[in-house]
Amino acid sequence: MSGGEQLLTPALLAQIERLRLPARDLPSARVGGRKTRQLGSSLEFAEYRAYTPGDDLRYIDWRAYARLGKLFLKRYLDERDALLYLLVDTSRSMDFDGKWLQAKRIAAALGYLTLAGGDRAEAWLFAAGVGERTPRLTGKQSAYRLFELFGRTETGEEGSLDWLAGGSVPREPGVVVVISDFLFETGYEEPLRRLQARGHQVVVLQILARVELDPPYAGDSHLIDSESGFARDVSISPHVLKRYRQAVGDYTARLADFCQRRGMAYALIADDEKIEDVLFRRLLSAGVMTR
Amino acid sequence: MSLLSPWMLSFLIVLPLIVIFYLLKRTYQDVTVPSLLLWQQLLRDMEANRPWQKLKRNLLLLLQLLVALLLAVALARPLIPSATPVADHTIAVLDVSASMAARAGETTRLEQNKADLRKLLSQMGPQQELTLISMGQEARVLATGSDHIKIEQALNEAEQEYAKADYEGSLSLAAALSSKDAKSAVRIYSDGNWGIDSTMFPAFGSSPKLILPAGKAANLAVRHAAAVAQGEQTALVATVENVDETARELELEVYDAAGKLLETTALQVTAQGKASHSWTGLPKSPFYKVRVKSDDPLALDDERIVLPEQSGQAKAWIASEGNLFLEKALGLGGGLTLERGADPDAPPTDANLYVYDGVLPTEWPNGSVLLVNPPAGTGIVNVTGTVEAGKLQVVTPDSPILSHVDLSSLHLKEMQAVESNTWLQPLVKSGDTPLLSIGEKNGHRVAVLAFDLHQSDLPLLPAFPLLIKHLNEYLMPVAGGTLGTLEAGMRMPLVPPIRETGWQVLDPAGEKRPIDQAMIEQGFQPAMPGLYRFLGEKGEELLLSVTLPAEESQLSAKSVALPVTGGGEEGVADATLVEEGQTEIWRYLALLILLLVFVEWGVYKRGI
Repeated sequence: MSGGEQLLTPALLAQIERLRLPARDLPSARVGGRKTRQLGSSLEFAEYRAYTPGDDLRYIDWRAYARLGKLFLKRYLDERDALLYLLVDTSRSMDFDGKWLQAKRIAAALGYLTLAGGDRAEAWLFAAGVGERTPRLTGKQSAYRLFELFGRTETGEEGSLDWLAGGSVPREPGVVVVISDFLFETGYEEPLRRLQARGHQVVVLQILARVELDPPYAGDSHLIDSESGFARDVSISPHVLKRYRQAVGDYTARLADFCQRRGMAYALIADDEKIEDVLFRRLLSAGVMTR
Repeated sequence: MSLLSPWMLSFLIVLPLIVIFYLLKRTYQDVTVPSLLLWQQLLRDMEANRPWQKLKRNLLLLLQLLVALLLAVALARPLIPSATPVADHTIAVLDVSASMAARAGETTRLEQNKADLRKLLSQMGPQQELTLISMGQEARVLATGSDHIKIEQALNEAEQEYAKADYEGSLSLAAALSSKDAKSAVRIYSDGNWGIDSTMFPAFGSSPKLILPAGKAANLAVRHAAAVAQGEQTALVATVENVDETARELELEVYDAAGKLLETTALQVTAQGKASHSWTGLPKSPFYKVRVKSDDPLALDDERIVLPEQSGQAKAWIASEGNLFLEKALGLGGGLTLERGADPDAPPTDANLYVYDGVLPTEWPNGSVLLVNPPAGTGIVNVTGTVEAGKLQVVTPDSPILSHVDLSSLHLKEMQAVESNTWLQPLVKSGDTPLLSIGEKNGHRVAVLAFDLHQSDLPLLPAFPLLIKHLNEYLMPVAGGTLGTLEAGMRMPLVPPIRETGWQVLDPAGEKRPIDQAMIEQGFQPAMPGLYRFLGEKGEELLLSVTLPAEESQLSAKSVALPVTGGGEEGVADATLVEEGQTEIWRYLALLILLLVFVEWGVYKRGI
């Protein structure tokens, strides 16, 4: 748990245990401790339905047949567990100010609350392609493997989401949380669409540094892209800064709009926001998790 | 707007240079950003492969360009037309006479005119010339040319004068200069009270502009004052003139030498009139000050120093074998005490006049000398011998000594031929021999009557007592402890004992100067009105009262139409030759540049 202690304090972990992943359509194939809206084999009654030939005879309510002389099917709600995929961006652009730390913390918190809730979790680190990934973890006691992974991983390569479009999409349906700055030259729309098409419930968490949102630069500057090394000369004046802020606003608004239209949860998080605020205020209100 | 140094606009070349510097010498600071993605949209718009896009909205560059532009324009010395027209050659006549010492606001009329002229100078272009003529006791060209600094210096050095001004001379000088230069314009800074008959005005080359002081000014002046001391008491009479168009009530005050107020008298004076008042029984004082209480602009003529005449103080010493005619004539009027002496070579030292009748002294006595019928021989003059009288000829009929003295019926038998001298001026000649001469030698005034009164009918003529009185006045211009009254700027010959060494003169301003050789040779010329004290080594004191010329009391400006030569062409000349005045505005540009530098500093600090 040493990695977890660095990322999240024990007090915070205790608080996180009270949170849960949202109980929406859980497309997991595994029976678990969560009620679903699907009918299944739990003990919770859902409805009666008239028998039609071909129905499973096991669900016929014989007591009702004894009283009424008609065949009814008694249906119960299904209970499944949740499967969380944490897709965390480790490209070099994440290694800026507190972006990477913020991303790790959020990922660790989400992973921990999932495991603590008896659900399963998997962490995938990606840059240009999928790098390291944990096996499917179950139970609170295996959270240390998540923390350990986040603790030792360094950011590095150029990032992209193209590998999702290339077919490396998680197979078993679950909740996919993509934590990244979404500053991909190649775009994000198609990969996110692919995830949704596979039946995943997609959560988009965009992490941006404060200097990206509101740059303090002034004067003639030689701007160097941290990933590609590509550089441009810009004379930064208040006018230019104003236009830049406008451009950032447009970019994030476009992503938010895309997510809203596709039914994905979205949150924009700055690197200098407190983790408590992020978890208990921002993500709760964005519907990424519930109490 | 025109430019004085248009070639300085070549400085504008720095404008593109600054832009080039901005394009070439920009130093970029390396800044690593997570991703250029967000900047892309911006950069596409800003870079767009056009270099001048980099300069877009660069406030610092714009300010620098503006400063450089203003500098170039300022260096080119732009001119804007101003209200006062200035000709190529301005002839400025500056009145420095006493009437210009009148108060005008905080300062005097002269200072006001000087300020006007300074302003005119500042409006003149570098090629435009100015000739500055002072209208004072002498008409003088103070400065001329296009060196404005030199002219301004001469203008600053132009001093107030109190003497009777040579208005005619100054106007003639200006007129002559303006007629010579067709491109000239005359400006006369005066009050127009010149006292010249309009037919005497000189004709100017172009119509002169007379700059008169504003408004009318009332003035009161003590015009005349005299006092006679009789024993321990003094009688004094003073006349006040009202140089104003309304009758005035005034108070006349008399002070003694110690500044003590002796008398105050109220007087009524009619418009442009005079009023007199006399006082008797004033206590004895070396001088009196008569002052009219007034707050008129010219304070100089409000008071006058009066030196009392001491009656019966002058002393004449006569060396003669007896000349009743002469003694009687000298004794007329009672102002002279006569003392008869026997030895012509042993005169007393305390007499004012030494009369030698029929004797020729060998040494100069300590005073003025009247020689009557000098015998042949050498002495203070050389006499060659007796000659026959010839035809009577008056050499200088307008001499004050001969005024109302008719010598046409003079008969005489013979006369002494006095050797002609450079210092002896003959007034009347008989044939070729001087009959009556006057002159000045070593500070001694001398008159020579070269014949024996007994051998002529002169004593019987009515002209005789007059002639003797005039000679008396000439020989003894001062009597007692005073030197009399003099108008400022006039010359007064210094008579003994002032000619001796060690005398000093204390002027009304309190400045003490030693009497030098030049003063003795050319006479003393007091510059300002008031009391002058001549102080001897042994504690002697002689007083001189200096007054302001009467015409300078006239303060109200008088517009004068001055004639112009050429008649019909005059108008044309005015229109074409009088150029617009111009004012340089580089100072304002410099101020703007300074302001911009501050703005630039602010912009730089803000880091745009």
